[in-house]
Amino acid sequence: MSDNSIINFNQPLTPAVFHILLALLDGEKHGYAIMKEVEAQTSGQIKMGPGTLYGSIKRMLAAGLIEETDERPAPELDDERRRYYRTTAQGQSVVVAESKRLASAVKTAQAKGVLVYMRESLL
Amino acid sequence: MKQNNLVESSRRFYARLINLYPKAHVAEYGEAMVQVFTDQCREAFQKQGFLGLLILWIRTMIDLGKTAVYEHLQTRSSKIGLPEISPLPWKDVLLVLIPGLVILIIYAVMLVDKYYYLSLDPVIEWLAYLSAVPILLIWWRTKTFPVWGLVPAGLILYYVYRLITSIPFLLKGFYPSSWLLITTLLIVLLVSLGLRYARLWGVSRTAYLWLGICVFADLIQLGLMLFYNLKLSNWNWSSLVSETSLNVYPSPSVAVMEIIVFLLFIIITTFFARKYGDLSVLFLLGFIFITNLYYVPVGKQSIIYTLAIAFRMLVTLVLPLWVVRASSARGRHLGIAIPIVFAILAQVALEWGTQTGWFFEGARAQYIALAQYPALLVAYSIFRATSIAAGFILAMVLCRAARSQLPGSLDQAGIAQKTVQI
Repeated sequence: MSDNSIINFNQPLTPAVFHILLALLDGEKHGYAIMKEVEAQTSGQIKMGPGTLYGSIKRMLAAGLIEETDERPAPELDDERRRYYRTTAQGQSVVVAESKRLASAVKTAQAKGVLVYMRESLL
Repeated sequence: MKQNNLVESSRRFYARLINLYPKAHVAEYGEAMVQVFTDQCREAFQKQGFLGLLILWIRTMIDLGKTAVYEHLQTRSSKIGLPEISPLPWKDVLLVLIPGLVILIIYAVMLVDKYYYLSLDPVIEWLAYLSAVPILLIWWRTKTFPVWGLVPAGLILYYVYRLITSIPFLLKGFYPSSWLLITTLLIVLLVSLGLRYARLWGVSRTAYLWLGICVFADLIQLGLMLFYNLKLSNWNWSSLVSETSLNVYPSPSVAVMEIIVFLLFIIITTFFARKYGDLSVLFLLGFIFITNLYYVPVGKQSIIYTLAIAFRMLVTLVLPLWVVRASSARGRHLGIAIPIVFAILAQVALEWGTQTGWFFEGARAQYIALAQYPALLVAYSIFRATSIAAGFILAMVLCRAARSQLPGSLDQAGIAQKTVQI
């Protein structure tokens, strides 16, 4: 693995990487399906372009968080030009750890009453 | 028909635009990116018609501008070696260097007049204990163990170990019960921590390889000592567990404890890996300062003094400075490897030259009993050096493995082994 492929695990994951990992937890998907899944799971808040999607995929592949898979759907449902990806065991542990980190941040925010202020301001 | 034309035109135009990305990126992902964009166009047009397509184009252009520049910067940084890791700020660097500088000065004074040896050794010990105060204060205030505390932490833990293990000896005498008690406890601790590490992070083949080299070199060392000690006592095996064998250096029983403690310190070094990665070896360096890489010349030749101070400076100042200021993972590894290798070679050469009387006949030392057998001494020194070097590499491998499996931790010192952020 080249140096260029090492991920800085010391920093929180970028939203794109985190949501791509989440999207792939359900099973392997091709690029466009990942994009749609991310859009759906963030209620449209994150709309990735092809540049962001494949830039993230490139670095995630290099870091061993995801891998390209040869398993493909039935030929009548498949476009053979598409490339399918799935999470690796390391990718799954990274997404779990990141989720815990975010949960911990939310817990802290709750303890400091931030979420209460938010609710009140919304009302 | 209109939909097909617009989508097809968009596809063709985007296919040209992606040439703005680096060639390697286009070659690998260009086709997939165009396909995804085409799918997006089709969906946008179906849902919102021309307006949907227009909005998609605006979004895509922003994405393209941003990511094309980013990909070029990434390619460029890997080509021209832009900093992969942030060197430590100079104020922290100075604090990191203080322990090594103090030890170097004390060592130089000890070399000039050996009378000071007895009085200055405890000085280092007390200074080490004192350094715990600012470290604990900063740790308590910031909830972060400071990077400059790694070297003193290694020193302190070694002195604490020495203090604790001396208690049974003082109470019960040396052999064999005290030795057995302490050695057993150390082995239990080592195995427990080793298993804990293996359970948490797993042990790679590389780690096993370096552990194997380290242990192999240690076993050869022990074999040489056993051979010499038995030869000295006319093959009386009971002499190995008698108090008098302590006076023969290197003593196998003491060496067993030293080897276990070295391995123990390697495992403890990984405790800092979460925060400091490779830099955690600074902790091991604190231990090395006063144990393994230690040489007291015999005689009064200034050239030998100079050489002794120079090789010591390699580990006390050059190594930590190089490591904390390195701007790449490779630079950091070189910063550890080169000074250690040169220091070890210098120590082996100086010890061999002194003990065999090569520097000058009158300097043949008595405290290295193996000096009576120069070939044994050379072999002993080489295997001891191999063990230290392999131990250092093992520590780095273990730290890297532990670090690479720890996502989401904070790195306030900015010294992560980062290369690419995703």
